[in-house]
Amino acid sequence: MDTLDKLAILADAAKFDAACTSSGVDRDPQAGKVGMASAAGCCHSFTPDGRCITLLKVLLSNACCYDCAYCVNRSSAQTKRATFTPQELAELTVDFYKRNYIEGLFLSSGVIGSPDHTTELMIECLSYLRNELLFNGYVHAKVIPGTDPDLIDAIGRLADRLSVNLELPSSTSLTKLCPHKNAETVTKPMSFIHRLRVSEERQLLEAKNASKGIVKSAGKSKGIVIPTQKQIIKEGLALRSNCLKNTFMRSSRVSSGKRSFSPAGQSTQIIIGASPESDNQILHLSQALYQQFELKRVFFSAYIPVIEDHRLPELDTPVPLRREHRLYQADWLMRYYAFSPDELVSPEAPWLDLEIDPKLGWALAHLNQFPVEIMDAPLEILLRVPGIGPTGARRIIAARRRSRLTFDDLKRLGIQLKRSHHFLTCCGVRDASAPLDQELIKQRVIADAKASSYNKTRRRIESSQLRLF
Amino acid sequence: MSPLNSGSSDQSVELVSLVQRLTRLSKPQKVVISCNPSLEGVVGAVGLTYLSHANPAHVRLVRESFCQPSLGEHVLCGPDPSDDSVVALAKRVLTGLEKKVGTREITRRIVLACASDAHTMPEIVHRYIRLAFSYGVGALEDIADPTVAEFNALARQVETEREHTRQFVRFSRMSDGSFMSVFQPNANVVPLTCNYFVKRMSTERFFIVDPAHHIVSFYAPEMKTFGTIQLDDASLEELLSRTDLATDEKYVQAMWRRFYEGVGLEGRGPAERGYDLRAHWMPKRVWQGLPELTASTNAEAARSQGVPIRYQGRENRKDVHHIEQKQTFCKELTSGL
Repeated sequence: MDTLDKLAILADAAKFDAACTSSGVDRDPQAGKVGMASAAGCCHSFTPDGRCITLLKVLLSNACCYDCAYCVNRSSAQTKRATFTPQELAELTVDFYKRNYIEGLFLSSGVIGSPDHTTELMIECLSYLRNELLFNGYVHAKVIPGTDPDLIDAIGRLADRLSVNLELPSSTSLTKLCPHKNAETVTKPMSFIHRLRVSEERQLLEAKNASKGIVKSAGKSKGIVIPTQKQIIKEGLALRSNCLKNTFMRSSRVSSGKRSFSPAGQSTQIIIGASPESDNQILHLSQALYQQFELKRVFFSAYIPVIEDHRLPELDTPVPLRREHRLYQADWLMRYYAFSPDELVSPEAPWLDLEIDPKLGWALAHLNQFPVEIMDAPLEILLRVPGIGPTGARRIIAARRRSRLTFDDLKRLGIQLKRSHHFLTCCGVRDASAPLDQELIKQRVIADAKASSYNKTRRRIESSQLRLF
Repeated sequence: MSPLNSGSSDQSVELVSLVQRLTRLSKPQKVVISCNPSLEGVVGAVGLTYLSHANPAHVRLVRESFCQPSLGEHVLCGPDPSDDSVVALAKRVLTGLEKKVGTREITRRIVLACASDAHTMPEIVHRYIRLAFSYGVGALEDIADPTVAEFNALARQVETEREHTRQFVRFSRMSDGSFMSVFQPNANVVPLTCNYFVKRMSTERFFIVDPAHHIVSFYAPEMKTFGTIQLDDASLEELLSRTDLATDEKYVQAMWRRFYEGVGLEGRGPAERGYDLRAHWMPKRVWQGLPELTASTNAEAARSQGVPIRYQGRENRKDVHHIEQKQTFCKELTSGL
């Protein structure tokens, strides 16, 4: 079997992994080496379904000895199997990179015999890529639960980002659908990666302080971090916004370029719709992961029913695309807008509204907090207005220092007035076309949201088929 | 007072004559200056309006390819950007601006805006520079001002096009080992983006041809930085007609296409989404240059030219490169006989 045939099998086998980002690390080019890495990442292509392709996302092998019910590569599945040789995959990465097809490699694998043996093969591939082919681009490596910590340490020094897939949102579902995994084996490597990153950060900070003669322990700040006014204005005046600087999560106090172990941090993935957990449970889980292990991202993957199994949704169940979309929006609201999970979905009403986005849902439930005055609202309040995003809010704060803003000015700043005009006043003046009556606002906003082509299409597909969860 | 003094000794005869003509013309009537759409051409033309003390309300800058005077407007050919004194004048304008505004960011934005293909670009840049000379740092900070907002939108559009270039340029390895790409951006951004590719591929020789703007940017490891040259029609045609791909190129392209086809997910396409998300992120105008969407990169055709040794699925092929180099060398030798 030549590489072309293997690639067809192993790319197809890896496509259900949602994570495909090349962001989070800045690495300058080095003499004689191929490539570099930039914190912003770069999307080189887009699949027909609109997902970004930035990395060569493949499995080293799909010959898996585990038998997870939801997985197309499970040992009991009748499917074609293939395995790359470590060198073959490394050469393929460099060939694609030099043609500007990709930013680097996303390396995952089915479990070949044992987690340790599989990780050793992955390390062999990455060593060849880094040391023989002198590849200096981005690498994302998957850590298999149950892998020896020494091997995790070794792979983390070759890769930029590590990820351990949580797969299912509760230990009950994990036990039910993945007989070879349990909550402990999944969270243990996450915790190990976090500990190593924290310890490296502390060492680097202490070395930096020592070189400056500062005697101070490198403490850890917790919770959300509100940017200073100076930072907000600087971002607002920039020609293009830096997405990474707009988050409220604690950012590392040492630059990614100085780190040697997993400099771009770690992420995870949760499958949505294969098990009965609510959105409230999933968002709480995400928040706990962000806080406890300082994950860079939690990815959600809507379950696509391709396997017949009594423990899973039936084959004709539609892909819960809108649910995945709304969860991503809610996740974004937690990281970039300082929302808490309970503000978006409560234990009493644990499901996100599929017809309207969670921020609009929150605004409609809290109409008494509107309208917001554009000239003096702080960043956290501006961010709560539907139609104003992290960039728009920062631009407003930067612009209002120089002039009294009108609705025309907001339009020039790129604010989506169609969505936001109901919720704003400019120097005490409301938009003439926005109704005053709260019920009327609700009706109009909901009607607009429901009329979108996306909502109409999904409603038609979802209502024609039964949903299990 | 004008920020630039006239009558400097380093001005060419042509530039002095232009200043005099503009001084003479702009007093009684309105003037349209048709400028070359380059940084030197546009900023030099702005400098010209200062040197001639022209009333800004009487002067309008347009692209030379889009010059359509209104009734009563007199057309004046702008300064020649290849003239050293025009380049020096443009430099003076930018240095003066940096001093006035207090940051180099203003120059960076003007460089970006001048790369735009918009037919309104010269006048937007002209108005912005005049505003910046009178408003100072306000030209960067008063982002809601209509002139500033229009200028920023132009610069932002060019930044977006630079990002598209970083994303969608595709290289092919040629028979001489260099990497070639043909890319047609909506703004003259190849020279503004080439350094990104130098960082990615500092060990390789490569060149990017932009047929829309008649330029090629190129780099080789022995060069300190990349170069850019303007192409005449014949040279452009010669470059575009190159078909001498490396022997393994079709196979690599076929693998990329196979990978692309493999990673799409079912149940999430335009029919299930209500809109085409791929076309939203990846403008259709760039599709024709992408091997993943080009029919010629099919697997069987690629295999018929032979599977490269490193992709035959064998173990322990550390010497593969040597074997392949030897094979290429032998092929070149025999073809020369």
